[in-house]
Amino acid sequence: MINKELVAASSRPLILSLLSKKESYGYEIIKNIQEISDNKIVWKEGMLYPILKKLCENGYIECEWKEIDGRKRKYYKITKDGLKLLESEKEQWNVVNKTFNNVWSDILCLV
Amino acid sequence: MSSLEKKLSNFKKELSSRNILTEDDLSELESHIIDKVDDLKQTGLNENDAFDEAINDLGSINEIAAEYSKVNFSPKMKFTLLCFGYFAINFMMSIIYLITIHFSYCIKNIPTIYDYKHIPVFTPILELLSQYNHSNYANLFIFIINTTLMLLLLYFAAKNNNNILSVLANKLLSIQSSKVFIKLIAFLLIVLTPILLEILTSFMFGQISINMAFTATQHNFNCLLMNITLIFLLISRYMKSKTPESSSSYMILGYLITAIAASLIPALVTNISIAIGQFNVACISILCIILFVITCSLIKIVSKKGLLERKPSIIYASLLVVCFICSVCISPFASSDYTTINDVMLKYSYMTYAVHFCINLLAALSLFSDYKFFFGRKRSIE
Repeated sequence: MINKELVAASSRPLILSLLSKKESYGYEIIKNIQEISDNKIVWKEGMLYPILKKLCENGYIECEWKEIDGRKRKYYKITKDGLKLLESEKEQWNVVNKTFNNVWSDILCLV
Repeated sequence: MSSLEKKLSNFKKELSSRNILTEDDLSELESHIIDKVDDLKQTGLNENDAFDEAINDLGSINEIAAEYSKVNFSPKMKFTLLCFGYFAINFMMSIIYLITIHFSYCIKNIPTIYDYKHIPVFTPILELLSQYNHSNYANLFIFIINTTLMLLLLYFAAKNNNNILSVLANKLLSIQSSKVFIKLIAFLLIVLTPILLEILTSFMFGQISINMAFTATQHNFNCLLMNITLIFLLISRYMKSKTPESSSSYMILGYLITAIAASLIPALVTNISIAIGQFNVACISILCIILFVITCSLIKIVSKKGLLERKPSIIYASLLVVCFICSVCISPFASSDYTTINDVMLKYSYMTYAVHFCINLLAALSLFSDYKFFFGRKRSIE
């Protein structure tokens, strides 16, 4: 079980990362996250759509209703601003990750 | 209707009764549920169980409404944006108009103020500028500069992201919960500044002494052009998603409705009172009061019955159509001969100021009293 705050904090960079690879719709994004995280990261599905909406309003992603195979879905695509935000989030997560690695590797050395 | 469709429609009805999700949001959740049910059916579940599991995984109605309330506007926020849109856009347009009149006044006066004919260097410049002393060129200047500046204003007002008006609107919302002193200052600013600007503008207008009728007609045409541009902008956004979902759309709509009402009321009142042969202060005042009461009652009925929430796209589309028709029909004096009805023009302009003042006052009172008149005390929790 992943901490609620961690799940919330990681949701935005995860969504942007997925959308930077290809255009997608809400349900597909949820399925991908579950696959990639080995079902360890479980989102309350109703939580995803407001996040997508907020990202859309701020111009980080674009949305469009598309009809494919007779099914109408809202597709999301990342924008240039979104890519910039993703880069900055990646940097921040890398900093945190590096710090943890340093701290934990020291502890291991001590042992 | 299959049982899945029935269950879906019940679910959507329950969600939409919270008045938070838009039609677009509901369609998206519906498409999600259908996709999930299809996937679960492939793992062997029957339709009913699959639907129940899908709804469960989505979260409770309360949780969904809570999440969406962070990104969507409550009815009160919508009203605030409507009011604020009118104040802010009208204020900026008044400032622009004042600047262009002042500019044309300067242009007109340069050859006479700076009488440097004895210095050879200035002569060609003065000769070039002296043609702008002609009233038609000055009028053309007013029109071009005014239109350009207003289109720029439109561009900045209509941008969806990092919109300066949205920033100001958020500040205004935070004022609603601050001290009485600050609220009072903001209230006075909102109510008094527009009327002071109008008086200053007409004073400057008088200083120019160009063909007033022609310039007034151009100003009317300018306003018509702005209104039509804004309406088409909102229509194109409507085609994309059926209801206004951004704060800038609400603010523009608020400006359009109120500005048109502010022009329509004096025009209607003047026409009616001239038609019945009673163009005097008493008759005009009575007609204005009647029209105001009708308008306030309509707003109260619409907000009380929750029509804005239940059938938002129909209301929105009708509003745009009405705005379009009114914009085209307004300004009965656009083609009139001003020289023979000076008395009417004077009373008409005073009445227009009075109407604008009353509208500002009403909207500011609503804003700072938290819309108790329209929403009642029960809904103040939202």
